[in-house]
Amino acid sequence: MGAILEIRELHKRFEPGPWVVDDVSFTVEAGSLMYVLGPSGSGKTTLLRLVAGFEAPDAGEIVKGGDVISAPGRVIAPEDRRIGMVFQDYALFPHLTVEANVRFGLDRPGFIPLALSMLPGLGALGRARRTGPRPNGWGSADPGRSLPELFELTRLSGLERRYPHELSGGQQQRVALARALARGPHLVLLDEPFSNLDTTLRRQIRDEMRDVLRSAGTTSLLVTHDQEEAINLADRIAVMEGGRLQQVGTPEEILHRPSNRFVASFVGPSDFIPGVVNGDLVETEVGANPLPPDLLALSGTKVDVQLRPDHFQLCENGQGTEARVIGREFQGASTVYALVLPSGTRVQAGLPGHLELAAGDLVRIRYRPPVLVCFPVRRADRP
Amino acid sequence: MSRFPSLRPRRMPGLAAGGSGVFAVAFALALALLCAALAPRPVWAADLVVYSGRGERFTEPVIQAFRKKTGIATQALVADTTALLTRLEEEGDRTEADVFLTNYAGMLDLARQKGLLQPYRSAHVSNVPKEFHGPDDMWIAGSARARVIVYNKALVDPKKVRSMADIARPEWDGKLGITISSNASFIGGVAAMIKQDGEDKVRRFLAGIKRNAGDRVYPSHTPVISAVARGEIALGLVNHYYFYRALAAEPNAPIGIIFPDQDTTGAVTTITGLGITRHARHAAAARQFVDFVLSDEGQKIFAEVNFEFPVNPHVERDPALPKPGTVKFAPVSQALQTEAIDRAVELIRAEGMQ
Amino acid sequence: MRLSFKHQHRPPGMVLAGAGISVLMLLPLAYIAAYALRGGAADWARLWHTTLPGLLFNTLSLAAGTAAFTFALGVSLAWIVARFEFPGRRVWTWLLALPLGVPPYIMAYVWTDLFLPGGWAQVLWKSLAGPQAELPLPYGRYLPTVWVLGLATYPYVYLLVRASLGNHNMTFEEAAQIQGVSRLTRFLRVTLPLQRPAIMAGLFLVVLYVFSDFGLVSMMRFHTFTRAIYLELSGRGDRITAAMLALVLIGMSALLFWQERRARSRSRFYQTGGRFRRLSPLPVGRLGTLAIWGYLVFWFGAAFGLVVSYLAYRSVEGIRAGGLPAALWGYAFNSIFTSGAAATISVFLIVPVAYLATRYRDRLFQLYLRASYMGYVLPGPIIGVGVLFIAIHLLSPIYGTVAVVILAYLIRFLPEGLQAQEAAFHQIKPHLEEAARIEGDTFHRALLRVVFPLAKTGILTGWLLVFVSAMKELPATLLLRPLGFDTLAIRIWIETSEEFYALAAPAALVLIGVSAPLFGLLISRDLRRQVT
Repeated sequence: MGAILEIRELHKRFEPGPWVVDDVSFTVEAGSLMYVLGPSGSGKTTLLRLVAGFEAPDAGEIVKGGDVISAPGRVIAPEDRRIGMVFQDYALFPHLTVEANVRFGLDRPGFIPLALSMLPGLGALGRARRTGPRPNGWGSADPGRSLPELFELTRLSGLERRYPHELSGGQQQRVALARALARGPHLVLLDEPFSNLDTTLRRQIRDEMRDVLRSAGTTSLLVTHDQEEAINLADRIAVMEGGRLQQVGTPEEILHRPSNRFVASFVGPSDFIPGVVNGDLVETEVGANPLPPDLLALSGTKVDVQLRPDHFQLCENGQGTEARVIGREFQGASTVYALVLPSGTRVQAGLPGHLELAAGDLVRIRYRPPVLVCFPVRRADRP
Repeated sequence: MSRFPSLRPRRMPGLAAGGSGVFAVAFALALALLCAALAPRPVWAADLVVYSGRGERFTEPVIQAFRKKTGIATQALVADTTALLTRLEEEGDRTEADVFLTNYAGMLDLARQKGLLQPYRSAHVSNVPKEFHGPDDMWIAGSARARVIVYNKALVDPKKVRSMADIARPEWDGKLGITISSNASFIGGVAAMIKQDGEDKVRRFLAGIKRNAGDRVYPSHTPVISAVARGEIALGLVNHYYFYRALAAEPNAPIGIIFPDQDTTGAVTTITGLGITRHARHAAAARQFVDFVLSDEGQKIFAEVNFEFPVNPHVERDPALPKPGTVKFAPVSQALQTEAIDRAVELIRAEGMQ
Repeated sequence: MRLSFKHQHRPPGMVLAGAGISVLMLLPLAYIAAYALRGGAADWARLWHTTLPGLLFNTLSLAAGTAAFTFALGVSLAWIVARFEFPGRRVWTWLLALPLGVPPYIMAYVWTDLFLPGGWAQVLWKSLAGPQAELPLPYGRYLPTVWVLGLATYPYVYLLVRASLGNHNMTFEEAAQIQGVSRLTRFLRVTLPLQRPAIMAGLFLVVLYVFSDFGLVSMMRFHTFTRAIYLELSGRGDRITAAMLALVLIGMSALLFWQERRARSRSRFYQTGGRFRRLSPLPVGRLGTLAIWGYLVFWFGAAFGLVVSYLAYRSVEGIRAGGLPAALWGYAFNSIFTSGAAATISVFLIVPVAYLATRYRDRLFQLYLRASYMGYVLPGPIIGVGVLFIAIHLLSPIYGTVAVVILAYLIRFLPEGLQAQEAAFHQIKPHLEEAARIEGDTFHRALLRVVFPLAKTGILTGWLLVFVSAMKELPATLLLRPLGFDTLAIRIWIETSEEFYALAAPAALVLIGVSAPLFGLLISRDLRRQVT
């Protein structure tokens, strides 16, 4: 289908400070789940608000469905963008029921009933219906696209008459999602939607939400600082830091072929150790590995090699490097051990859990990644 | 050997730590205030206590003069008569009041009906004409006031307005000013009229003046007179003394006074009065006070300071007032008048007067 | 989430104190009820066929009109000051609440004076419309009374809505915006409904005030319940009729009060967690600033500026004519003394009641709380008569002293301080006291060292509220004051009824001069707590 959303060289600053969004460009394909990942202060939330229309860009364009919706000095109002949004704290209207919340964009109460609803006891008037069927929306009579259908999809059936304060966190989030979807928007924005949830539920709810978004067929743009979430849910990820886009790609690309140190260290657990290029190998304390194909370096070049815990192997027969266990963390089938190498460098290695190593034990390990990730040393990195 | 500094609890210096110090001070302050509030009150040093609804300006001179003459330490509590009556009633036999002084005999008589007064007879009291006595000598009038018509000299020919009923005639539509109907003098005047002329006549009268006055209903008498003087209205219905007060302040004001119904019943009068409370602690002093108010000297101060008519026939009126015998006053049957007040209030309300 | 001490023993001293205070607060009500019960069915029928319907109509229609007026005025002013950025915004925020420092009967006095023949309004009208033109007098008329009452009470709505807007979470607006809702509709469907709790709370205070007002309606000669009660009490009617009327009024007020408490607890759910975006004021251009200033100046002028300047004018007039009576300072002292005493004592009375009610869930303590809120629903004349009765028959040693007046103030205004302290105690988590107890403090020490320092602000707010209200009190003081003891309020009342207005004006200025700044202090404390 093509790109629903195009961000072109977007710039934004809050005077008189630095650029909060600094020359960001990427596209979002129709029907995909795109993540903008970054630490706090990276500009990702501002980017989302720019797409929503709550902020105006200083330079660059935002194009949705082929139309420019944001440009310097020319911003289409948020209410006219046909975009849905799930806010970080859900922003459910506390004075309306679940159903009224979800229908909010569809309802069009007349002016008089609205004014009268301010009086005590007449609050119900404010919820008067005068909806129009919306193409692609869930307000129509089409049974596949009816509101009860939406409630079922988001597992809210039976909760329509409740008020937000009577719902659990997960339920509130689903209401927020249903509300965003009700008008059948082309694009749904989600601002750290899982950060308010208990960790125990998070995974389950995450997966549910992804399923809802896919079933609805919407294009989604999510923002988060949780790289584990992004890696697991996204179709594509845009990594941001300091207002700039660091890398855009699939989760695999981000994980295994990070374009710079920041992306490498931000996404997924990792350590860095020094290495040296020797011919077409890179030698490190934990073994030698082939040079990554896209890296051209002469022998003798010093590099920083990224180590991921899951790519360590046990060695036998005196091969590999001896390391001493100093700590461990259980992770189900495997355990991540904190090891200290002969040089004193500490690394984290994921090893089979049945080993049951304890602090002080010695193991022989080597590092065997599918593709090595390393970066030439910059003078700034290593004094 | 512990690496941590000694954790022995420090003794807080008394309660003076942060908020608790302020609290203690505030508590002491509250206690002190309470004691001050309960401190002895002037009433315990007074030899005579007068509850006066007559207003400070007119009560103080009498009190001062009495105090000077007799040396009796007199205190007055000045308030509106309504509040005083409630207090008297509630206080019962614990009342501090010795004398109850009001501008409206109607209220005084109400006090009598509630059993709050005691009778008093004396030479001074007997001196006063019968019509000014309350039933059973429970109270005595202090001064008298007439309901009169004030007019603007440029706008009205006084010969055209002879009777109270005249101001209700259609020809004065839009030219009359009255006070609001809750004014006690207004009610008193209406009550006297009921007794004199009967309810039907009074009803027509009220309807007429309501129409004639329209919006020109003032909160009290002073603005009525001012409006007449300015020519904004031609006629005003007031107590007589307001006229003389206004003239004393502005001798050149173009206003005149008409004592109505001179050919018939005479001008309607209301009276002020005083009585000795039933449980007065200083009854003797109270009697002296009553005598003083009725004496020649007292009457001068009591009545004439406000241009009212003295009830003591031997006292000379203020020279500004009409000479005795030149004006006819309707007889004041006070006992009947107080009953009529309730009827008056009902009629006024029925008319829907402001 | 309110934690309470469920299993600790209740401090006996406080429980007893609370009981005593509750009984005291209930005495006037008991007195009135006792009298009213003497009225039989025939009396009720008579009332119903004569004065009751008229009074009900007058009072209720007055309340409705004033509520509508203050709603429009209070909400619009709060909205302007919260939503827009313009020069002088901070100062205006504070200024607009000042009219609460002006006693309503003084406002009535000034406004009616203006419309008297020869008053400023009449003169202005004549100059515009010709010498024959005349503006009607405002006495006994509905709209003028609503006007003055509205000007006197709009700050209740204004302050509460302003505070609520300060806590307004902009995310709601954005959520509505992204749903495709236009600006005006957003205002009506999201912003305004979210302010509803604050608006209702403000309107409740307004209506309650209209029910209980005595001075203003007396001056404007508008016949409401409280006025009728005062007149009936004053001898023309009998005590029983007055008590019956009072009972009806108290019933209406109590109903209102109860509704408000219920609504308030429901509105707690309007708080949100998570990311919170404050209302950031929009800048306005020159024209906008002009329009805003015009609007604000008009209303502030009508409610405060005009009043003060008129009083100043009259005072100067009066001083030129006869000088300033030295007794004025004596009256001021009396006012300040009684109000200060009442406010200070009230702090101590409130503490047991507020503390017990917020820390323990016992029904008994909730009853204490309800009893102490009695003052809100008892109009001034009722409390006056009730206290008169109490003082004469039960506490005779104090009758005739100023303590009686202070007692009346306590009963009438305790609820105001109570509300402030209750709110303060609510915010102090009980486990702070527990932490102190673990460290070795006894119950009382923990109270003094932990709770009170933290509740200081609430206690001070309560003190100020009681003080400012007591300064203005009229009907009970009229009834109860000892010989030779006048407060400023009394003085103003007497002077205006004796038509010596020139003296009333300086007294009014002094009263406003004392209470308005204190009131300003109250507001600025509140404002400082919110980030504008």
